[in-house]
Amino acid sequence: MSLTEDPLVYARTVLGHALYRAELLGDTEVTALLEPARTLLDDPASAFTVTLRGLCDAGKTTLANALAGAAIIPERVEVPTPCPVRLSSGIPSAGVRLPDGTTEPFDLQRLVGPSATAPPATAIVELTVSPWPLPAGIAVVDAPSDGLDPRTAVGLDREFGGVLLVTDAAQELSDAELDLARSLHAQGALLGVVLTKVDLHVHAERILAADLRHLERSAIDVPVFPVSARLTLLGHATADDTFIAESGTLRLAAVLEQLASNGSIVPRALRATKLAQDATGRMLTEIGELQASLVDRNAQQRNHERLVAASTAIERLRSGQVRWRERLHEGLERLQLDVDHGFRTGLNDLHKSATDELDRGDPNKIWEALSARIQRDADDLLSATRERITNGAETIGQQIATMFGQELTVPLAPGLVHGTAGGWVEQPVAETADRGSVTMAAVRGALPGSSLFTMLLAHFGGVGALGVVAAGAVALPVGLVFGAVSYRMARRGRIEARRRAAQQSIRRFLDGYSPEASKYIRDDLIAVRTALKNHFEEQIIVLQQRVEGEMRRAAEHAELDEAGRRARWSELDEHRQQLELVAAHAEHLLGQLAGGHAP
Amino acid sequence: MTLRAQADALLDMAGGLATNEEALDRIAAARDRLAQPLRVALVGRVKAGKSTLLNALVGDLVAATDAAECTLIPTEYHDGITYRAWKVHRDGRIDHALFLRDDRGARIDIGDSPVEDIVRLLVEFPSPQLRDLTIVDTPGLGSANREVSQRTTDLVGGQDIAPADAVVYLLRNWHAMDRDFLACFNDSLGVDVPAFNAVAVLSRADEIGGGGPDALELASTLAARWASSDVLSSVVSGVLPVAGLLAQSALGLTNVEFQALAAIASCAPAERAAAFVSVARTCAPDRLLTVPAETRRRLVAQLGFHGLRHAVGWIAANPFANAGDLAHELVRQSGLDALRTVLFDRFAARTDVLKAVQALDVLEELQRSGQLGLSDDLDAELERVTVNAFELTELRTIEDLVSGHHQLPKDLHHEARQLLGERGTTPAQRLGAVAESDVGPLLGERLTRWRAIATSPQSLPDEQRVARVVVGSLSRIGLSDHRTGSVSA
Repeated sequence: MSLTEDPLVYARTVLGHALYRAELLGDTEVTALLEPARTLLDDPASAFTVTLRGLCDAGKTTLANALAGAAIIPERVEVPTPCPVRLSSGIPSAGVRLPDGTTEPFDLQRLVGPSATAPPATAIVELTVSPWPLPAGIAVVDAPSDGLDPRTAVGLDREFGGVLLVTDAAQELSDAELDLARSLHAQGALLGVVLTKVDLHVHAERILAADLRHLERSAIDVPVFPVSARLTLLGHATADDTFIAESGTLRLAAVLEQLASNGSIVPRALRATKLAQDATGRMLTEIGELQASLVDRNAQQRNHERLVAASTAIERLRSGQVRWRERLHEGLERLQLDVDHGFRTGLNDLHKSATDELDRGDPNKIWEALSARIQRDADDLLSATRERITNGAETIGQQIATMFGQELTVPLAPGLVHGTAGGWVEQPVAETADRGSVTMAAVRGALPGSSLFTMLLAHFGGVGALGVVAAGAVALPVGLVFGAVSYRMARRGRIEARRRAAQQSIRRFLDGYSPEASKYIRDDLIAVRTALKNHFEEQIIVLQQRVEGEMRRAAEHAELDEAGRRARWSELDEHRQQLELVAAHAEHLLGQLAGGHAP
Repeated sequence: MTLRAQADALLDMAGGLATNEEALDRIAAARDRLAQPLRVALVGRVKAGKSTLLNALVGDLVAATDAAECTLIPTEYHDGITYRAWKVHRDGRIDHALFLRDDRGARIDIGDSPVEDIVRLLVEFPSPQLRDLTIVDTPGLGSANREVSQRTTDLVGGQDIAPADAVVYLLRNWHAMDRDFLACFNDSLGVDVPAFNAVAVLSRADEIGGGGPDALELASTLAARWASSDVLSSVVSGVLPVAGLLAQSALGLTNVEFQALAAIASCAPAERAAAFVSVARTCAPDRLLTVPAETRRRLVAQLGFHGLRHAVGWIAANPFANAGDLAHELVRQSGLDALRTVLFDRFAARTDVLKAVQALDVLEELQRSGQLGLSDDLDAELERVTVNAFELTELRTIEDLVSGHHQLPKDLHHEARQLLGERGTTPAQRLGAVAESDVGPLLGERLTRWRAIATSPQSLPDEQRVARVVVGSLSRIGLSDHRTGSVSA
């Protein structure tokens, strides 16, 4: 292997060798782990997502439209963009992806309409556009201004794409903007700064110079693009190329194009190479253990004892009386009580606040806003409750995972399983240690042997069914225009009569809402219970298979004569040498890629 | 006995109960502040346009303005006999500083003193507007240089040796940091008059939505939207759109500049429209040849891009106007008048009340922290003043109306705010009387109407509550000699 100009080719080669060795060793789990990485490298359709971040009225939406070549996203200065809007190439269409993963058609005017009709902040509006002036692989996300909290940069911004920090030429970069830039830069994100509205400010050049100084002082080496999105749009609208040439967006588009063709290679190659490196390391450890057991009778004996102990521990976990099952049961009972209480208290508070508000004001005047708000608050309360179930389930899962570690006091051979570090399960913790902090440390991967946590987190936080089940959309079949008829009937009456009618309507709505919502909450809890129970039972089966596999191999080794052991040792040594070569190349490539973040 | 006098008496009483030197110092400082003019701080993020707005408000180019961040030290502007400046050092020393004015504008030369060593600058110049008001220009919040921003937080949050009594908060956009800052300012006042002494300004209104011809209308819509939001209405008493640069440019507008603008206005409309697409085109050497490119560039810097286009359009539509007329138009457009009303009528007219509020706050804090000896008399008197002072009741009621806590029909709502003195505390201002002779009849008519609302079983609870306070205010007008002026201040 040699370092080519294309890191993807290099990464593909490293990955291919790792996969080949895993197949020769019969390690199906490593093979399964590396296959998605190969898909990741080979997928030419991976879109390069450019996310526009910035303060309110910085010009993000205008810039998104300018990059799209037309005023696609409606703009009103007094209505900030309520949720991310993704623009990409395709047959023109508009849809909204809701937090539960479902997509439905979307009327773009809702983006600038009253807040009651706006999509939730957690939704993503997906617009496909044709003609699309950028390369087809590039998508542009107009993110809502969110106070520029660096934490929100994680996720949306990082997936094979870059972030453009949009700031206007009216003033220098502020500390909030610099904080975001620092955070993204530290994470290795592809980052650029776009200085917008340069056509409106006579001091734009001085502001540009000041921004460059601020970035330099903060050790953020990123390009700054002075741009007038307004002129670009004007150029497209009037078919006058001089406006477009003057606007500066051509340079920005050219850089984005270059990034899309080269830039996304870096994160893709990084991810695949890291996976290959992990897998190679695990295989090397496994080979080391196997070789030791071939030449050292004592090691063989120790290995046998360890496997017997592990097998006994797994049997303990399988039995019906173990602590983890009790903990699961207790944890879910408590979660249910907690969630029920919180939801009922929330509804009572809602009712009380509505009644107080009606007492204070004229129902005729506040009814429309109040009824819409109560409906929205009730939906928010239900969403928050369901999120609480998800979070509670994750906590219970983590506690049980810790208990698995306590049950399995004998660690398995590292090579047998595919955790990120030495063992596959958390080591027993000293009695004095703080359980909460240890669990959190394990979750963050700070402790050796946190692979089970990694698996759990992948299960809960990634594509796991639990997240989807518990974060489903709220689509209550209760009457949303609650009490409207009775309220209208009383409209001409005295204020007190109106107030009473309004209060009754609210009570009726909340009385109807409560059982429907409880049904959703109950379903969520049942789904959580099933998912957790199945997950841990599956884990036990996987562990048992692993122990049995190692026992089988140990038995094979024990039956070998001296010549057979030597032959097996040499065979393993050949694998070891090859894998060490793969590991060296992986490390070399990672070193090369580490410097390639900035556009 | 006015609220200020009552606060003064309470401070006297507390002076005898102080248990340590610090308490004595704080009481003395509170008494000093009672005697000083109201201190209004102009606060906002970097480049919000604070210094520009200050110049516009005081009608003189006394604060340095620049495209880059230029206010690094809190600077107080006082009425005085001539233009001069002092620097206050961290150790309390006060030295002269040089107040300079040349064609680059105004600036203060602090000599060899390091910026970090100076806690504030004091500037004095003849200004009738500043007789009852001291304006403090502050370094921008959210500056890339955090030490600079911290000075403003200290000034407004009460950590400074001479904190502000009221705040004009300039916003270009709404950020969580702004809410936190204003909430912190409100919290620093112990007495329950939230948001009354803070007003938000949607600054650089001429740049909103890309600075197009409708920028100021958009700014008004945006300001109204912000003002109605729960978040903002809980921390400020209103949001006013102001284009400070338009108003400031009117101050120094010369005949030469007016002639240059008129020359641009004389170009063909199509030529003007083609040039006014961007700043670069407006200042290009091959366009608008009636005026040199450098002059055009200077005009854009002075008026802003929106201001230049508006001024040229206005001159084209008013061919017989002169520089004075244009200056008047620019000030009208800028929205400055509304802000002046708030500052000079609402804040300044209630100086004594706001000062007294601060003094009561100090006493309550000293009591809470145990720095005053136990005294039932002081406790009772402090509670009596805080609860019963009618001036505070008026403020709280205006506040409840502004924030929407009290819901009244629109006509009653606006009338109540006026009668409670939101737009000025003289009888004529409260009653909206054009002539002094109208005060008597109007007073009688309003009193009858609001008494009816206060006592009618048909009235909603909110209406009754507000009406009772309004009747109190009107009765006080009746009791006082309305010709002597303000009622409650």
